[in-house]
Amino acid sequence: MTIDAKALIADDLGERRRERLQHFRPAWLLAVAIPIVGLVATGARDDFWAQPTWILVLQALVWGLALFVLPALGLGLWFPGRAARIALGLVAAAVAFLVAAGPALLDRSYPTGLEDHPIYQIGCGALTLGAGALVLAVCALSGAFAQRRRSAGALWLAAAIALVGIDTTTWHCVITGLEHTLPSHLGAGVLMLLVAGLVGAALHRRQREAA
Amino acid sequence: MTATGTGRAAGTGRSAPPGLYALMDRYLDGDARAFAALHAALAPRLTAFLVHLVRDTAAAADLVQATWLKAHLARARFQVQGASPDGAVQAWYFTIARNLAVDWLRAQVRERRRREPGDPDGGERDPLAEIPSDLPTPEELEIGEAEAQEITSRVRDALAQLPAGQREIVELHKFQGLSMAEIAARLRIREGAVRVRAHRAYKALAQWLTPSLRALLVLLARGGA
Repeated sequence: MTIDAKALIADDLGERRRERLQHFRPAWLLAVAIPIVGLVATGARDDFWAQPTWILVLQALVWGLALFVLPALGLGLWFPGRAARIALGLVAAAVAFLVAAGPALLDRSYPTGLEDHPIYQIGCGALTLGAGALVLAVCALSGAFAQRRRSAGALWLAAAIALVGIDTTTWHCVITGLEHTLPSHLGAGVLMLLVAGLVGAALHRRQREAA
Repeated sequence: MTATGTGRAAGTGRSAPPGLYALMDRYLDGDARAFAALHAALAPRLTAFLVHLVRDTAAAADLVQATWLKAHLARARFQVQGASPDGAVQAWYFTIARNLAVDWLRAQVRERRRREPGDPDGGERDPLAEIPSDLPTPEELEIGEAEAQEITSRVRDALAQLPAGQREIVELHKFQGLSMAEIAARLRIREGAVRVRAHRAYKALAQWLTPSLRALLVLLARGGA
């Protein structure tokens, strides 16, 4: 017998990795499609390119976290150390907060006077939750939450889903006041995180037990 | 298989390198780089352990590969039950390696006895004597071999008592591995008749060998050795 067990096992792990990716691909495609369809259908906010560069960078960073970094952690495609995971969690929370509340706190050049209008409150909350819920549903159906051994993996995916919702809303809504963004952008995102986390953890347990 | 996590791998006499459990944990989650690091940490120890057991470098190299593959296929069953997670990882791999070594040594003993039936020691050292004490001793294996030979002899005696037509079918079926259809074609009789004779033959054998039905099973498992 002349075999290279190390190479065979590495190949097998690579195959498992590709299988995990397959489980997330539908949700990933949807997460990419949601903002694109939204932009095509209704267009971006009027002041999109007039936003300060640092806000645009933060919004791009949120997309990067939501589409690549957090799913890689949640699916078990990337295994950073504990310190790096904690740092990533803190970075994700910080950029989500800054994308939602940064313009009001750090750049007051875009007051709109619509901050406390209930229609916009409900509309943005619904958009945040709706965008996240679509991705959550596809994740649930495709088995993405059950790819890691521990249910903590589901939380990373839930965070990605919440960021998709927050950034989608941010790209459409010109209202930057805290009275609006804290409840209907960030608040709805946090609610999405909680719901997706609970659903993901429950599905993780059920699907792992069934397997 | 469950590793018992005593902090020392069974039979190795070496404490586990630190960080094994962290690597194992990531490997179980699919991290290929963690597996590579685990392999690098344990492969030299496993090789030395198996060379010590089987005293055959080429065989030990094969057994090391088999150990990794077997552990990989069974990795979902790994769990830590002791105080030392690193030791549990090492124990997991060394237990698999030891079991494979024992299987290999048993096969060597059987092969040697087959080649040299008159020489119980095969004219060489008995490698099984050097296996750790919780494994079957050469004497136990000797008893096992003697028992197997006795069983084989009893079954052959029982076969001799069968009518020639039934015995022929049993021999063709179990010793030569022919199917019922092939036997029917060779003997130029209907397949149904072959099945009836085989049924009667096995029933008679089971009655004669009772309570040691195990003997028949052993013979059948050995393919008439």
